[in-house]
Amino acid sequence: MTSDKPHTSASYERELQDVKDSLIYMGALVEKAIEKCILALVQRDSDLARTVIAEDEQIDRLDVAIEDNCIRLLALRQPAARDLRSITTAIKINGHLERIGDMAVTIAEKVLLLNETAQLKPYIDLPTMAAITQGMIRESIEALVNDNLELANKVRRDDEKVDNLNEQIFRELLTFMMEDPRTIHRALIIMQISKSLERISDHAEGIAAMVIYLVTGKSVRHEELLAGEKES
Amino acid sequence: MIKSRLLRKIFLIYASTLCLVVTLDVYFVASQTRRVITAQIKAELTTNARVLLLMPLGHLVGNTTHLAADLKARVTILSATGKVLADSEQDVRKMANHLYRPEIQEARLQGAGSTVRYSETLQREMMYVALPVQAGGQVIGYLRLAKPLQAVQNAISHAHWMIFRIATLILISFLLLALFIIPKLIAPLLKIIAYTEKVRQGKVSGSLFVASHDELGQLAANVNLLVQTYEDNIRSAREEREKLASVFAGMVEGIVILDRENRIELVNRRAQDILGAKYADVTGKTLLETFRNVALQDALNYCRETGQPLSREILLTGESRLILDVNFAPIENMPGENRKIIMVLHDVTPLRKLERVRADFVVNVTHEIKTPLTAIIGFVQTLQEGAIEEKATAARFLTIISEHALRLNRLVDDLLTLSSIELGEVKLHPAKIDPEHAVQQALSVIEAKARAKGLAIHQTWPDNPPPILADGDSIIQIMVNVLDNAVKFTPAGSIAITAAEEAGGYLMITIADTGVGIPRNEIPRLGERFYRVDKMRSRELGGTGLGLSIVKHLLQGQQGRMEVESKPDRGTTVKLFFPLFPK
Repeated sequence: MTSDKPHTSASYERELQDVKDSLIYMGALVEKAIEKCILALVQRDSDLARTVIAEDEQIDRLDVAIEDNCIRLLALRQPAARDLRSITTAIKINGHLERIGDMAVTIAEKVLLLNETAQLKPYIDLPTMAAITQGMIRESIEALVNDNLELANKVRRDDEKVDNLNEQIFRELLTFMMEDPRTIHRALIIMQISKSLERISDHAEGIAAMVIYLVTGKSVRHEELLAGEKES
Repeated sequence: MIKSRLLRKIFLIYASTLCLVVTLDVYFVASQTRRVITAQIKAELTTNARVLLLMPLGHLVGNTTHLAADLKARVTILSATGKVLADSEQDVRKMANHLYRPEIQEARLQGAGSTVRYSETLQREMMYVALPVQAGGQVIGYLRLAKPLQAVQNAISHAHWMIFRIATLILISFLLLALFIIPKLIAPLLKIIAYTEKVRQGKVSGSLFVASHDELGQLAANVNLLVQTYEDNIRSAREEREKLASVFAGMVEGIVILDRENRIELVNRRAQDILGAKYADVTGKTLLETFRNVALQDALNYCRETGQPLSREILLTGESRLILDVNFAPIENMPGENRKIIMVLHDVTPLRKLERVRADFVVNVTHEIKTPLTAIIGFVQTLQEGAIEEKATAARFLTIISEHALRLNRLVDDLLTLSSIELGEVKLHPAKIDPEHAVQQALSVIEAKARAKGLAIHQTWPDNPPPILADGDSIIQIMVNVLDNAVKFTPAGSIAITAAEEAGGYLMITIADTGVGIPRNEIPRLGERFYRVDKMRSRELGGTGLGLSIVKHLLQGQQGRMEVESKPDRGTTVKLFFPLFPK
């Protein structure tokens, strides 16, 4: 998030870097949380799921700290151009990351519920979906670190894969439920997990969009909406 | 005109001093000359007047013109009332009463009067001297002599002219001095300047030579000493730096140095090797930007906050898993709270992997021994509990017990072989070996088993296969183990043995089966002790899980190697490379 030209004030420079570093730190925390809750799901490890829930507090605290810091910078430094973009996008990315953390907690809670009963079926699509989602978070943070537009665009493309997998899991679970109503409870929980993963990938896509905005100054969110307005 | 700034300065100082002296001269000479000459004129006029007073007044009045011509002065005679009686220069009738002229008044009151003033009548500055004319104690008139002060002016002008000429002469001579003599004086200085400039640019060539014994010579000598010291310092600093750099680069530990803002300042060669290409260009990035690792950052923060060194084992995930032992330590001798931090990296990935293999080994070997032992104990107990009475059953049980005991024996044998190979207790005696003969010997052990399964064995040998350098017993064991695996894991089909000379001085013996094959990701783990691709099937087939491990170690002991290619359900190809016997 450094500007092209060095700032006259070294402390300002330092503060901007601090914001960026704390975002990366939060990104790493969130990534780890997702990894853990997927492991907890696949290995049916309730203890691991509980650590995810416990560790969310740190993410929430960091969320508040980053936002305070950004607002303080806005008030004190009155940034312009790229610095303004970097601070406002930091606020939004921070929001996305915090939501991803909450989703990880949701998944962990569902895993705890699932572990109380027998496994419905071996998971195949869910770990794939989780792996793609986790990769999207990692890549969106990496795109932020290196101003990598290519990677940001890849994250945006990957979102579609996750959406497709989500639908596939939905259809599959539907057949389970129709065959045997006793599976409905478990199938619904798995469906919620799948939905959570799908939302996480949406947040990762949001982060990638913020990176594109940060680097190019162009907003790529809701492109289809804007394109529709132009046509009409 | 004058290039040297120093010269110009000296010249300016001299010139301004000269100007000051000339100005003062002019002032003093002028006033002094004026005083002296005025006094002279006054004395002259007074003397003349006193002489003239010896003459009767009437005579004086009549001869003013002559007198004036003789004395080269104006002569005026006044009556006691101030009326002008005669004047050498002017018509008396046109002249006013002179009684109140200052010199007359002075003469009237003090007996003699003189004044210098501007004469209205003659339009020039004059010196007037007046004396009273006395007759019988009565003042009957005044005699006044006046002379223009032209002479004073002339004398002053003359003196000025002299001073000007002398000053000009001095100036010119100094200019000549400045142009021709001073440059010679400061030439050594210029030489020193040029030399030091060269030194500054790093183009030192020889020492400076100034052939003079004055202060400049001393300066030159000092400059030489300074340059010498400077060169020595630079050389030793450079040597020191190169020493440090090579130590730094050649260290077994990876070193990463972080600056005050947690940005990576330096990465040594070893650290670069450990971290790999993904972290090739990280200088200037913060630690978080580079690794995005929470544990690493927490450790760094802790080290910063406490100022204490600490050690952490960090798992770096990504394309390749790396387990690093990272030591953080603040660099000493740096003031302030935010000191630079040095990170020392050890790659403990292989170590941890080895530890896991060892732990696995213990688990595996226990399991391998436990299985037949459990069977043996179980059947022995059954026999003890009465089964021994039933002859047929007892015989069957004894066969099973014997089978398991044999298996246990085989396992112990294999383990012993493996450990003695590893410990180097098995002495290999590489000799000239005919590979075809060795393979036939190994086949004789296997053949019966293969025939029982209905597997065909094809052999393709080149004419006169080259002899290889190998240990006679070990090559047979290698071939038996590999062929045994091929037979075991090929339910139906054939085994093909081919041999060909390979580049690098090897003979490659290929054993290709049409068996169950090995999944791609399992191939690297073949040769690990007790590693089995399909655990159930392998044990069913009577393997100990040590066959390929022994092959690997035996080959390593005689500069050979093994390569495995496989496709699941299509078959496995094992390539064995033996060094050729040198011709």
